[in-house]
Amino acid sequence: MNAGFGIRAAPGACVATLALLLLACGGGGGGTTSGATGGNPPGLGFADATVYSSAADAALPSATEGAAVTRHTLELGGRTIAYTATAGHLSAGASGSGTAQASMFYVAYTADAAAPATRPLIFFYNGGPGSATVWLHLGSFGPRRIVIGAPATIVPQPVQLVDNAESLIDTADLVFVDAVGSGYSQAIAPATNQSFWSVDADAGVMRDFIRRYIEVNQRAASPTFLFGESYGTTRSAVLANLMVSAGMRLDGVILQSSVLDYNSNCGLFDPGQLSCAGYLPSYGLTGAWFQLLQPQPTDSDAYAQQMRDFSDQRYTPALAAFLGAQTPPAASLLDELVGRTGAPRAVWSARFNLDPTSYRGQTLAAQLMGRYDARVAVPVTSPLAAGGDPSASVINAPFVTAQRAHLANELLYSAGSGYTMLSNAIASWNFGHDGRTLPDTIPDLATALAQQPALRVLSLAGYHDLATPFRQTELDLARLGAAPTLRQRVYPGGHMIYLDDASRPRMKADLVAFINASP
Amino acid sequence: MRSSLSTLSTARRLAALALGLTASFGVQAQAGAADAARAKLAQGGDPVLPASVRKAPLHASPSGAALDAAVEAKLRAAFDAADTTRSGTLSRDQAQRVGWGWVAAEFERIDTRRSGRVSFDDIMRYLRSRAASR
Repeated sequence: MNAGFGIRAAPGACVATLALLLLACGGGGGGTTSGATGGNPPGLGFADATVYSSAADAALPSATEGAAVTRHTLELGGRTIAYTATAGHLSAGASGSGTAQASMFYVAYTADAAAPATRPLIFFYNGGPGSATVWLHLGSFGPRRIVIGAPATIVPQPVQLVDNAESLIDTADLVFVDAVGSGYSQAIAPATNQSFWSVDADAGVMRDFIRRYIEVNQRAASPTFLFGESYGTTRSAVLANLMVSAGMRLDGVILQSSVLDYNSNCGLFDPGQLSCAGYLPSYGLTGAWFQLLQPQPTDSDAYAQQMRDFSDQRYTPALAAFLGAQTPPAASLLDELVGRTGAPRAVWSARFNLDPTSYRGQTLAAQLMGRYDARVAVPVTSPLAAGGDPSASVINAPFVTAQRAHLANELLYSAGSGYTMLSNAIASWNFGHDGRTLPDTIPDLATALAQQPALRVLSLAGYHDLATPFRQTELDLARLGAAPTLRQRVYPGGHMIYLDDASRPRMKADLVAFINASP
Repeated sequence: MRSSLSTLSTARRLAALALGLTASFGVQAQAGAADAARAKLAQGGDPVLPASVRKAPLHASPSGAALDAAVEAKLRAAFDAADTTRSGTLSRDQAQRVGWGWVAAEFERIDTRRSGRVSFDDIMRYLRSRAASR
């Protein structure tokens, strides 16, 4: 994608080379400002000739810290915010007298008028492991956002990137960084990508990237926050402890759609090994969405509380007796589960420890619900059902299209190779941590909080997420005991809650309050 | 009636058959059909475990006193890694040099004897006294 330059140099021109995207064409009713406005210079693109590889044994012989720098404006809350986008690489490990270990690709959005030294700074990353940070970058709180409209099964075509009315750029500077082997991030020899494909080394190199970013941009006095999603929350818990231990500034950790303990989420394992009680409230909210319940509840938050109580008091003890001593559940309890979740009686009878895959496939006749967003249901014969998660199939290609165009036409960054949306890191990832085969990162979070009790934590979860169910996250975090700096929010929506146009503004309000709260 | 519980739209009831989507934009997944299917999903289905560890032995996740012990064990491991001379104590410079900046920053408050060196017990005593005072 080296053809993007010059687009910004001709502001107002409608570029036809990327017909799939409505960029800078004025077609979005005021939401399509892409940068060359307000008298700012269009910025300097960067044609990085480096070929990046996501292979396990790949290593760059050396790395430079180049970046494309472009200027943009955004109308937000009745005012115009001018901001700079920086897309390029910094070398993790190169701080001070250190040795560069990995060339990390990032896109930073910084507001021009604000006092940068003290403005809050948020580091965002997705998970996988192996996923590029494209979902948070273009879906959540950056200045540009892809139009998805979850839980729709059809994304508007051509794919649209619009100015994001819920961007956090009015509150903080935003840095989206790709883990090693994803996006355009790659190890530097003698390290290889595989060197960073473990729970501990992955968090360590992210710490070193953050240290480098803060050093180069002189942001040591900025309140600093982490925003991880999914495996990114696993990373955040480990990383938070590494940063606090290192004496680096860290004010808050934002956990979205958490998997803090791989040992507690039954959906990650073959069925039957682990209690799925943490999923039950999510089944309830999903059944409510599809109007399958008797009686049908009228308020999500109130029903969620009912389901927590029902699960704790009725289902969890009966499930423990069933799993431990094969005690069959009472018929009345099975009836109640049908009325509270919408899954048929035959399903509950056959699988009292109901796993999310069975719930998604056996609740609606001949339809499959999404894993990321259970509200996305399609006929089992639909192509969208073929990958096993229609809600993920719906959004994958639009994000690919949007990221490619955003890099080329708006950020003016190109490389000698394609952007890796997903590496194969998971196939050889070392999940071991603290002597366990699979990571439990609650002790990491607890250790960070022990050293720095003022560290704030905000958990965000979606009612209709059947990958990282909200109740399991609550149960995991409850292990921290009294945690006065912990806040938890649950919203209608799936794993990528922000794709829901009604929940995203509520999230933004909660995030602004969290970021601006006094330490 | 909250919007999240609103009735289904017609569009959602319809199959979305029109989308013959492919996503080959640098997606790397060479290891078989399962990985190929995963690569077509947003975020690769995160979180997901490879088959090799999907039957891993599960451990009892610690809480309460067991979690306190796990925290202490993590700090102990950090201390032992920092105490390269096996002296049982750390100086401020030593803590700084090995990257345990927190100990260096809190040193005066941990080193209540003003000895210039802190033991692991000193660190735990400081954490407990601070926790008790909150």
